[in-house]
Amino acid sequence: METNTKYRLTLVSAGIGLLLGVYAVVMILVKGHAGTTNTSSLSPWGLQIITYIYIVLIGTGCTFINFFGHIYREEEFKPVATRVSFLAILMVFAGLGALVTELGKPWRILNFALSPNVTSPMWGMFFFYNVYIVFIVLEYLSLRKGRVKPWIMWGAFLSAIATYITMGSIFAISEARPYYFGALTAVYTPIVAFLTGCALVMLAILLGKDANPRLQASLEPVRRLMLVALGLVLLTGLWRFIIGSWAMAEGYEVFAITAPRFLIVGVVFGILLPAVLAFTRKTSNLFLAAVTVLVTQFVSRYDFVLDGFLVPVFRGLSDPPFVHYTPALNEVLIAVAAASFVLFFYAIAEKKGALESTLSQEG
Amino acid sequence: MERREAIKDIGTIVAGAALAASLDLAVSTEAEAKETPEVSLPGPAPDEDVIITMQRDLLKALKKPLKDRKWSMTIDLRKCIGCHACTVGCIAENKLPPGVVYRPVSEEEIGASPNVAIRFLPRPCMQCDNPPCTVVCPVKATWKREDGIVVIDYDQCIGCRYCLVACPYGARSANSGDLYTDGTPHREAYETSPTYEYGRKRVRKSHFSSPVGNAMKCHFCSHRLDAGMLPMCVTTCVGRATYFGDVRDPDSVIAKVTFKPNAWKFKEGLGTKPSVTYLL
Ligand code: SF4
Ligand code: SF4
Repeated sequence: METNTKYRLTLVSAGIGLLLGVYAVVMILVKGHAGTTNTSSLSPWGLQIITYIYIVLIGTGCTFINFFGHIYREEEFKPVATRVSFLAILMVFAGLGALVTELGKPWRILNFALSPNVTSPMWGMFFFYNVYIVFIVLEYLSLRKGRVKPWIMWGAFLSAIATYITMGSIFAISEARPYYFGALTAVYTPIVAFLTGCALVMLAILLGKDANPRLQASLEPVRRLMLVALGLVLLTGLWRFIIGSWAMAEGYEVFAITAPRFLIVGVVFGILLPAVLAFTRKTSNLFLAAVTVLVTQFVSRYDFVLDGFLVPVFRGLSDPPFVHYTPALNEVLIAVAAASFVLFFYAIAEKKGALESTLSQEG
Repeated sequence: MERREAIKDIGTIVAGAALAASLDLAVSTEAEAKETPEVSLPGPAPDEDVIITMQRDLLKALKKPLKDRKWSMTIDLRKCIGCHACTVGCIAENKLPPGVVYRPVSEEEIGASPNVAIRFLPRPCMQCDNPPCTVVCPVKATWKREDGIVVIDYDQCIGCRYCLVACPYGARSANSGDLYTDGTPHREAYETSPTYEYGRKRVRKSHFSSPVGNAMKCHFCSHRLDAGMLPMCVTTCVGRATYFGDVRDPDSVIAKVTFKPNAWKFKEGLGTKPSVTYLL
């Protein structure tokens, strides 16, 4: 297909996704959560939070890749660095948009700044998130100018780690929900970020290398990083599962109940299959590996958030033994809009040459 | 009007919610320290209903400064008949919408026929002395009062529902604004009539008006306590299974029934230090 047609098609489809999302946001803001979302007291977090976690983790992964690239293989990573940085920024804002609509009182979001509770991991995440945004914007601007400053790369990397360890801690400190509880959950979060970031960057390279052959140079290091990330996710995910399955206390039964799905989706399709595909080095297989990682990790984030609510912590007379949640249409539309937001602005930026360093453009 | 309220809300926050929060605190402390309400009771009688005795204990406790009281609840599971009158009384008192229940009762079958029994477990908020729900609130919208009650400031809460995730008892609910009459042609007046939780009249017109959109929980009917009345679930308990009062008063009913060898606290191993005790 001709590049211009491809560009127009992308803009139209992403634009439709964005408009649908705007419709969903308006519905939620005007009508409230009643009838517009399917979260409840038993399943208090739903698809908007899942989308937020999924998307911002990918963005963080992008930041990690830029950092490792800068530290270890600067020359090979240079062609892709600016677009990876831009992707990270898009992901952060797309995720934030999905998150805000999940709040019961979204217009009070400023309370985070005006009434801070430093003991809350959610507040910690908010704080580091802001620091992280500053650093990734600076990172993008400096990469664009072709003058990378190490303190900016370090700042982006460290603030990303802090943001997503505190995000993991939101779940990890919840002793009320044994499925979430434990230090491994906090560590698992940035590791998953690393993996999904690798997958997205690989996709960006594979989809963009026809128009920009220089990107090809970054493919091999990203492939290697993805293999490392797959190994790390397998190790931490499996270890979390093993510890949870062995535990006796009330609430840990969730690990056993959800084991088949975790092993099939999370391990076989989520880790082993992409690892095998990535080992082959064939371009088509690498593409498949990246897509498989992104899809299975979305399912895994979905399962992770919802499985924490699967068994109610207290079961009143009218409560079910297992809590099942199905997202409402508006929630689905917000997830679609978040992805469309990234696609829309990425396509425009690519067209306008905003994903390249100005130095390389000159050169 | 409702949107104007929301806009006013934003304005207040932008103008300095930190200041507003501290003022809110000051207001509620003042309300709590107000004069003991006038309630006339018959003189003590040896065979009087335990509700009357607890009512007397309550009025005595209200004469003490807030910090010297410690509200506690004890539920005798042997007396609970599983009638759910406490659940329903609470829903009516606090005008709770669908999906929000402050005091559900669980039913657990023990054994197998013919040796079978049912255990009922009413679950109010445990008003934990070490509450995991308050530390996680990112905006300090919930805290433990000096008298032991864990409260939520509906004007501060952003509705993130993190406290729901953190409470090990499932004692917090999200008010999403659902109504019992949703999908029917007629909206009953009680669904949107004012609520008086925490002693403040609130008109629920839409999701712009709190407590719609907020987290909600049992607060031992703090508005009734301020007015010299026992919590609704205590007065509606058919089996007289629920005791309530200031546990720091050694002569009170609550102090006498609570400290027993058969006393048990729910999920005590988590270190939450519940203020609710069960008698087995
Ligand atoms: S029972 Fe739950 S809501 Fe109540 S104080 Fe304890 S942790 Fe908080
Ligand atoms: S729902 Fe409200 S009270 Fe609960 S943690 Fe969030 S802001 Fe705090």
